[in-house]
Amino acid sequence: MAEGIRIENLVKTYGSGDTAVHALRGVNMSVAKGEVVGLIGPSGSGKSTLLKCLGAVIEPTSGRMTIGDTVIYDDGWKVGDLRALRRDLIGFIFQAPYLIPFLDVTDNVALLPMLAGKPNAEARKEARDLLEALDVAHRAAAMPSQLSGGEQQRVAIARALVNRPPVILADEPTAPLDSVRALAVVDLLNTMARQFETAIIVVTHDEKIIPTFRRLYNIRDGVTVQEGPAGSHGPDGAGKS
Amino acid sequence: MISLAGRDILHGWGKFVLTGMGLGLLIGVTLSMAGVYRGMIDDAQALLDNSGADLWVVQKDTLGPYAEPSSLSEDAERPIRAMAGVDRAAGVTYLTMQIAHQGKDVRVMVVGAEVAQPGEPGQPPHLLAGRRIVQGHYEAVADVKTGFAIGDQVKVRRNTYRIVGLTSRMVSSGGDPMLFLSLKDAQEAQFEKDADAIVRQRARTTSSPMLNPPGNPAVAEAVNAAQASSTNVNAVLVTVAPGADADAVAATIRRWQRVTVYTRAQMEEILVDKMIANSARQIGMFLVILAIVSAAIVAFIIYTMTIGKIREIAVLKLIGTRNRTIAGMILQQALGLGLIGFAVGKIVATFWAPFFPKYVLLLPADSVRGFVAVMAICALVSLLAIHAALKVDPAEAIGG
Amino acid sequence: MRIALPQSRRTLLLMAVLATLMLLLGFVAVRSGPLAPVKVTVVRIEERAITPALFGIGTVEARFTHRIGPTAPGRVASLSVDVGDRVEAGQVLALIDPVDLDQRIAAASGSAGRSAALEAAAASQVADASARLALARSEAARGEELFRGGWLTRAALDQRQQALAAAQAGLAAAKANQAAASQDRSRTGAERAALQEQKANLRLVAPTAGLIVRRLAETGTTVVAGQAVFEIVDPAQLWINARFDQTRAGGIAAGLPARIVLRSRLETPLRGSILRVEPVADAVTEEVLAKVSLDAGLALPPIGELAEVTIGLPARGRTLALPNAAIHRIGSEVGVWALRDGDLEFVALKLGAEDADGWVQVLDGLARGDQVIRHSARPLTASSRITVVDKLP
Repeated sequence: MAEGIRIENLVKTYGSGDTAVHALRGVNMSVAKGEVVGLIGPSGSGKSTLLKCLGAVIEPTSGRMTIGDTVIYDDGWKVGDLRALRRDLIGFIFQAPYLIPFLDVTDNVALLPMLAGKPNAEARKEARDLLEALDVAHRAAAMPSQLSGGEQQRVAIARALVNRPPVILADEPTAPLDSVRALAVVDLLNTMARQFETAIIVVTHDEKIIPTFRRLYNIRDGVTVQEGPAGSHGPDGAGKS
Repeated sequence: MISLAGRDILHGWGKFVLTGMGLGLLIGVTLSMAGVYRGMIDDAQALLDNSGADLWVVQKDTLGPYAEPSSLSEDAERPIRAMAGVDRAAGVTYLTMQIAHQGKDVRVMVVGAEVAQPGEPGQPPHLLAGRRIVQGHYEAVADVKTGFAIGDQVKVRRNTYRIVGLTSRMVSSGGDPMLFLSLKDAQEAQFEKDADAIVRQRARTTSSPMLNPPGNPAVAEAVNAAQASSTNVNAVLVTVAPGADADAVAATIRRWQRVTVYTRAQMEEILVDKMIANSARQIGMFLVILAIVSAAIVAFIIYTMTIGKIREIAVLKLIGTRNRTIAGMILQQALGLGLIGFAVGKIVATFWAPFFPKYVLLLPADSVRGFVAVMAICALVSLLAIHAALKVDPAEAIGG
Repeated sequence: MRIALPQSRRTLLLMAVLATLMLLLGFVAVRSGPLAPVKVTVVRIEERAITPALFGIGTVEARFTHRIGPTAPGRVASLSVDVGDRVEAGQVLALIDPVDLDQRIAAASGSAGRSAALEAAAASQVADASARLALARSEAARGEELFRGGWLTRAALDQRQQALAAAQAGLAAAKANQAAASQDRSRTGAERAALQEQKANLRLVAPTAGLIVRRLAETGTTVVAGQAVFEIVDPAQLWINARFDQTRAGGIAAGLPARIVLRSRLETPLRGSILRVEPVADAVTEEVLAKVSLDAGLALPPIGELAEVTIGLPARGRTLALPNAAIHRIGSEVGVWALRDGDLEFVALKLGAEDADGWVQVLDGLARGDQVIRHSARPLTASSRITVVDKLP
């Protein structure tokens, strides 16, 4: 399978000198398109920092990151417009759906292509197709506040998918859900990853879903540890894909 | 392209419109305040316009007749009328007084004008209803603000007058509506004493051996008659002949009649700069404060609106919305709010203006200025909100 | 932009609110303030009978006022009538204390008696002289006969003739004496009559029947000659001394009918007519004076009451007329704002008489059927936009 996202030796240091905080100390990670991986780690492990770096919200101090064939960072060099990069290459799914309350479901999904300059009709058509795929097409005209939590989450997934990004970052997508729904969401993410050929990284500490990941990255003290499918998330065993 | 601002407004349009209306009421108050200020100045101008005069001849070394008491003998107009460059000259009296009418007190300025010919200086230039004064006595034309109706009988001092005509915008510089009488009636009202005073005066005359010498009762009668006469006017209004230079005519009258003469420009200075300057400045000050308060409130409203959407903005930023788009959204909303506010303000100011006791003049130029100011203030204060929005870290949306 | 359905309803609502707002804004911007059209009422020029009227005010005055007073200074001794009393001609109103007049009359009477006595003495002297003359004459005649008979000397005859001449002179002297006494008597008599006449004048007597309107002195007051003690008027003879504005008083003449409204009886006007127009006008008040008589048979008003007099001047027949509210002066021209094809135009006019309701005769400048602006909400200019309404305000 083609590579979705790869990071090599990613280092992020906040501050400098004696007060420097080494959040990431050389993280390596690689997710193929169509693959869903989990990213776990206790608080303070650098999980959030890694997520922000992956999301191109902050820049790493050093290291390399590529999405598909695009080099995002390479040891201090970076792509000029992170914002456009986020828009075009990365999809986001949040803990809460965070839909835009003043736009209806279709437009919430179609917003990104619209902002990118796609004609409204075309963007909406894409959005509707996606909603169809996610089984929420019947709510296309509803406002987010009228949807149930699950529907909202599906719309959020549709929004993340709309630009067909090579990689989607999902930040605790199942946190507020019970186990049945949480597993359904993971299922859905797996389906989507395959259907839309996208790499999905699920940041989570949700015990219910951790066993479902074929691959799991455990981050601890700024370093990732890869774990096998459905394995226990033991602390040791550094391995590379 | 999708209009985020429009969609946001549409989503919460009730709140938005209500906020706009609230803002509109405030803007309406500000516009009204400007109208009150303009109205004060216009009252002074109207007083001068409506008198129809080019020159005001008043008692020597006074600022009369509006700013100071002034008294001239009635026949002062005759030599003036004969001077070169003078077209018409007419005596006029002004007297502010309280009139009881249907159980209420109405404060009016009683104006005595020559009524024999239409268009003499001092007469009301237009009528809303009724007719001009025909009879030389006991008829009156009232400004509609007095509340008098045609056919009403009003008592001014010792005589009862019938209202035969109504006019409008005839006010003193203090905004009191005018009541026009014939000059002779008005002189009587102004200079004639009430009956008690006359009786007492007669008693004083009778008891004075100098005014009532024993053996010659005719002297006292003559003195009484002399005391009761009333042939003074407050000013003589002069129009200059076409082509004549008002300043030159004024100089001639000043020189040969030994009276004080004011031209229109000088009179305006007296009324606007001297009489109403302080109150106008007072209102101007208030206007400035209101404008600042309005601006602050607009700023608060827009800032609060933006802060309430901070998470959405973070999401928008995270998923790649450009700063320009977000700033545009905030600016458009601010301007929209300003637009609604201005429209509501202008409308309410127009509708409540007639209920003010004094004249409120809403100039179109002021409205345009107000519109520009509202829009500028909205744009300016939205910068604050935009600044806050742009400072939002997109990372806030994820984990952070 | 195509909008999904629920939003389209919101959009419609919002648009409706905004459209209402904008419509209102447009309305207030155009219909109020200085930009708004001036509301006017119009009047069509028609023919009308103009009855010019002249309005004046006056006071009720008595036509004749008699001021009764003594012709000589004196002190008021007694007053027999008071204000409001009606008196008859010849009735005594007051007495003035004569002071020493009676004594002077007594003195005059005494000297008249003496003159009469002196006259009587002079008459008896004449009779005596006449007797002496007759005796002297007969003695002289007898002496002449005796002389011719020689019975008497010439000297004795001369003596007798001399006695005759003396008697004649004596008679002449006695006659002269008598004439002087007689004249003296008539002088003193006249003096006494004069004093008595003066005494009669101290009785103040009503010269005519009338009403006492003023009592100007009381008992004990010393009055000078000519000072009035009473004023008497004839209440049946009242008129109104009316004043009319000079500028409108052309055409006023004796005999014109007048409508008189008294201050105390506003609801019941009285009828009257102009009795005379005073040849001298009041230059100070710039008014023409006229006397207006009340028609007979009317209850009489108090003297001095204010009256409003409306004189009906002769009617001018039917003529083009317009209400005076329409008339304006621009520069030195008097005219009206005419409505021609929806545009305002100032038309200069020649105007004639005006009646009491404010209708003015149009002599020149307008034709029948022309529309002119009667009332306007603001002063007009040639560029004013107008809206014609039925009624202002």
